[in-house]
Amino acid sequence: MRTKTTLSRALLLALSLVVVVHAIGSPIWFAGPLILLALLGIQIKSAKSAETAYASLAIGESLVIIVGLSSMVLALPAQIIVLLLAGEQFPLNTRERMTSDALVSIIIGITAGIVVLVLDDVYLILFVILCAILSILVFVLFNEKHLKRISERTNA
Amino acid sequence: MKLERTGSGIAVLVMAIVVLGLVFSEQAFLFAAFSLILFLSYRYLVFISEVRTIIPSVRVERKIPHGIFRQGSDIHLENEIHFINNPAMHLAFDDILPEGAQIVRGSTGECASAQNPGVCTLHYAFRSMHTGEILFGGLNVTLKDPLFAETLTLTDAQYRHPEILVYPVQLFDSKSEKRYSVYSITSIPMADPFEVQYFREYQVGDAPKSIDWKLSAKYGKIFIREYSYYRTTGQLFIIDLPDRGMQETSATFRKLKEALICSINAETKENIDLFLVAISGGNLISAAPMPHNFNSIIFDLNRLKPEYRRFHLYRTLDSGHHTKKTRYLDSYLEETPFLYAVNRIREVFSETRRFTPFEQEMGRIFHSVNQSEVNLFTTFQGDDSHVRIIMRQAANTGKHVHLFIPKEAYSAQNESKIEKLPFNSVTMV
Repeated sequence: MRTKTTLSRALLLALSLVVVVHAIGSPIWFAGPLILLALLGIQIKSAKSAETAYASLAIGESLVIIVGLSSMVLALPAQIIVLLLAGEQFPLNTRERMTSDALVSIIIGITAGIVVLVLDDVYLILFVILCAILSILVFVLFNEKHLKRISERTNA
Repeated sequence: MKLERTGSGIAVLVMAIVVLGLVFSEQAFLFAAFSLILFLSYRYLVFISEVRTIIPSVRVERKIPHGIFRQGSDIHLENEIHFINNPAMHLAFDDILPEGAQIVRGSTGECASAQNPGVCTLHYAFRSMHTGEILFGGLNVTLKDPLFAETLTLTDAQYRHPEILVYPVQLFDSKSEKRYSVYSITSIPMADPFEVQYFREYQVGDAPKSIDWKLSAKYGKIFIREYSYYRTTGQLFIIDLPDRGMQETSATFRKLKEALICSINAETKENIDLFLVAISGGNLISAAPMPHNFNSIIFDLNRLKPEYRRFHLYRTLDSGHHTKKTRYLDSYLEETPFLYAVNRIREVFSETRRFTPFEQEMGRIFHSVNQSEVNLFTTFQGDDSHVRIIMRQAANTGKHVHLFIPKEAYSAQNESKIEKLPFNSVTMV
């Protein structure tokens, strides 16, 4: 993990958030950016193992929930930051795909935020979540069959 | 697909957050859970696309030393696996051994290392307990990333090659009929147990009952008793299998096998015992009585295929004939003392040389067959020393050799070779 660059990026984001919140002029919302900074402090540490990365992701999500309890709008960038860091802590792609990963993390955060804000109902959101889980399971099963066919293909 | 520890951890986290969201009826919980679900889905898509890229690129190259493999003998193998390297993906390979095979050295599993990207080599030795043509079961590939893991078994034909032919450890053991799928030899009397042909050192796969304990105790090494062959009254067929290292004889060999099947068909109608000897040049591959059922014979003959020739018997001299080079020398012998000396050395070497194992084996087989007719099916591929050895041993035991040769193999060069050998009849097939 490139700690220095990630740290500077994350700090920049957090500070921008503080500035934005301050500009809005609601002193209560200062709690959110402060928690965000704490979250960055935890997540920015280089994960020595996948378990450590997972633990920091769990803490990050907890903090996102705390921020979300005060303001959903503020929880959205917090979630994006958590996902960006998760992408780096669970490295899968090569360096060339890091940018696309970051982009996807932003899109995921925004999509989730829009869905939650638009639906604005716990049970409706829950229904969407269940639909998403089911569609993923169907997709996984379909892929399993496809992979099995690939592995057992015959050379005619 | 399996979730890795962190993957399953995230799934549990999602469930916990969803439950908390329901309990507290707060959107913030569901927002976090939904984001994580989308994150997992995205990572699964990336993982599966990487798997689809890597799997078709896996190429297996199993290297097995040339030779004749017998039941129970160690087969050393080097399996080189090539694949598209992805530094973020952890790959592990596991070779699936043929049915009935046991690993004796090394390991069939290996993880791809960063030092050698794109290549993984497995070194191991196994022992086949089954006889006949054996194929590998395939290759297990395990792909892992921090969140997901997938294990696939590649069973395509390209992952199961090469085919290995394993011969029975003892061809003439009537008790081993069921164990080793050897032909029934109930009609052939057992050899006199006191007629020991020779002793040799123990090799892996030898039957423990053949060990001569007295001799072994005396010399501190395990010695095996080799008995003389069982005597049969049947017709003798010899098929000379082509060299597997030379690829151009498939059509000729097919014709040769068809001719052999036709000849055997004619003999089976008379209900007499048949004895088949398979050789490949100067290498004895197998010698066994044939079953009485013609369908079983066809099945066995169809399994015959070209063999690697471990021994090549160049310039085996015949008492009546000399090689081309020697004839060239003969005309100058009287004039050139040097050539005379060379020729004399060759003659002395020829007189004092020991019999090759092939000569000994053929001699024993000819002695064991009472019938005076021997049918030899050959393509005269390469050096013809083994044919001359067969002719010499046949002459020593008073046998008549009938040659069967495919038309395609009957070249001018082979014609001159055949003319020099005392065949009783030559049939082109």
